[in-house]
Amino acid sequence: MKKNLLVIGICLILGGGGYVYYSLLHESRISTLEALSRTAPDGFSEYRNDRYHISLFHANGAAVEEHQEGYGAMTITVENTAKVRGYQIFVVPYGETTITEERFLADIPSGVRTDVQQESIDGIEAVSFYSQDLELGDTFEFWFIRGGYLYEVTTLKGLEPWFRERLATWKFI
Amino acid sequence: MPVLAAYPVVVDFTSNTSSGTASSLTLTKTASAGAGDVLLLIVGNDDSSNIAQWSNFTDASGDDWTLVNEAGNSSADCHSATYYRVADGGEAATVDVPAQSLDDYWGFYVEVSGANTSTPIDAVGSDVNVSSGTSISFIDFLGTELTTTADETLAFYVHCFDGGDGFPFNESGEGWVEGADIQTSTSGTQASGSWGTKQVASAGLVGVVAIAQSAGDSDGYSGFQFSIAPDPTPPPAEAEVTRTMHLFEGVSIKLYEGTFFIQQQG
Repeated sequence: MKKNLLVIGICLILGGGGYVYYSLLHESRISTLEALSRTAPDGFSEYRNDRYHISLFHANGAAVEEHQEGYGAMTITVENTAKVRGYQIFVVPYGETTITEERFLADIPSGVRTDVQQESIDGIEAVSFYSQDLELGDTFEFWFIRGGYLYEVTTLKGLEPWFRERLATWKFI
Repeated sequence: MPVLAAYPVVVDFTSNTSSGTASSLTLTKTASAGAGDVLLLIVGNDDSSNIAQWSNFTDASGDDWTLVNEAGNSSADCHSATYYRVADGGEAATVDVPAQSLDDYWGFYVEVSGANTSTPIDAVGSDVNVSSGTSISFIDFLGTELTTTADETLAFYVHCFDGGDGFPFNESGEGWVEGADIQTSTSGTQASGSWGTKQVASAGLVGVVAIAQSAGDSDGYSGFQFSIAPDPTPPPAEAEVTRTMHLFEGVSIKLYEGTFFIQQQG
C-alpha cells in the first residue's frame, strides 16, 4: 500500500512539473502570438520589420520609408511632413553589450549628450538624452541594444511628448 | 572604458524556397559578405526517410562547404542542417546546395562577422527529433541543451517542421532571438523552419529555448543547436556604418513659438 502511495505521489509530482513546464511554454507562446497579431487602434497602422524585430503603430497620415545603409544596417523614417511630426530608427549590427564612446561619436559627431536618463522599452534597458544634429537642430535620442543590434531612435526635441506616445506602442517580435 | 564584447554577429542573410520536388536549392550570397566572414547555409526539407540529406560538398565555383550537423529522420518527417565556410571574398554570387532526395526545400545564406576564422564552430548539440505522431506543438532542447566551450559565443538553434502550416514560429527562452522563419508554402504537405541566436557570455549551457508552431495541429519537428566561436583577437569596435539623418530630409525645420514649421529647400 505504501509503495502504491509512493508511486502515485511521484506521478503527481512529475505530472505537476510537466504541467507547469507546458503551461509556461503555452503562456509564452500565447504572448508571442498576441505580438504576431496586433490590432492597430482606429486611425493607426502597424509597421512591422521581422528582420529587426520591430512592431509599432503609426498614424495613418504618416509615411514610412526604409533606407538600406549596407552592412546589415537600415534607417526607417516615420514622418508626417504636414504636421511636422516624425522620427527615425537607425538599426546597425552591434556586437557589444554597451554603447561605446566611439560608437556615440561616430553617430553624433557633435558629441552633445545632455540629461541622460535610464529608460526601458518593451522590457529592454534603454538610454535617452538630448543632442544636436547639424540638420535638425535639437534632438531627443532613445538608444538601446537587443539581439546583436543597436537601435538609435531620433526625433526633434520639441516632439518628445508626442514621440513617447508612439514609442509606447513598440513591441519586439 | 566601455566593455568590448567579442560576440560574433549575424550581419545579413538571404533566403530561398523550392516548393515541389527539388534536390538542389540556390541560395544567394549576402551583399556585404567578404573575406573573414563565416558563411552559414541553413537548410531544411520535408524528407520523410532516414536517409541523410546533406554532406560536405564543393560548389560550382570550387568552394568547399563543411557540414556542421544534420538532424531529421522518418519519425520527424523532416530534416534540417547547417554548413559553414570561412569566406575568402571570392565566393560566387549564388551557391546550389545539393540534397539527397526530392522534397520541398528551404534555406538561408547567413553572413556572420566577428567569428573565429580558424575554428569557427565552437560546439554542436544533439539532434532533437519530435515525432509527427506526437501531440506536441513545439520543439525544445530540454535535456539536449547545447554546452558551449568558449566565452562570448553566438549560439544558434535550427529546426525544420513537417508542413508549411507551422509558419510563423515563435521562440521563447531568455536571451534567444529568432533570426528568421520560412515556409515553402502554406500547405500542411509542404515544409517550414526557422533559426535563432543567443549571445552566450560564458562557456556552459546555453539556456532553454522552445519554438512553437502556429498551426492548430501538431506535426514532426527536427533540429539541433550549435555555437560560433568569437574572434580571439577582435579589432577595436569601430563603426563600419555610421548614422545618416534621413528624418525630414530635404526640408528645413523651423521652430516658432513652440511650433515646428517646414520650409522646402531648393
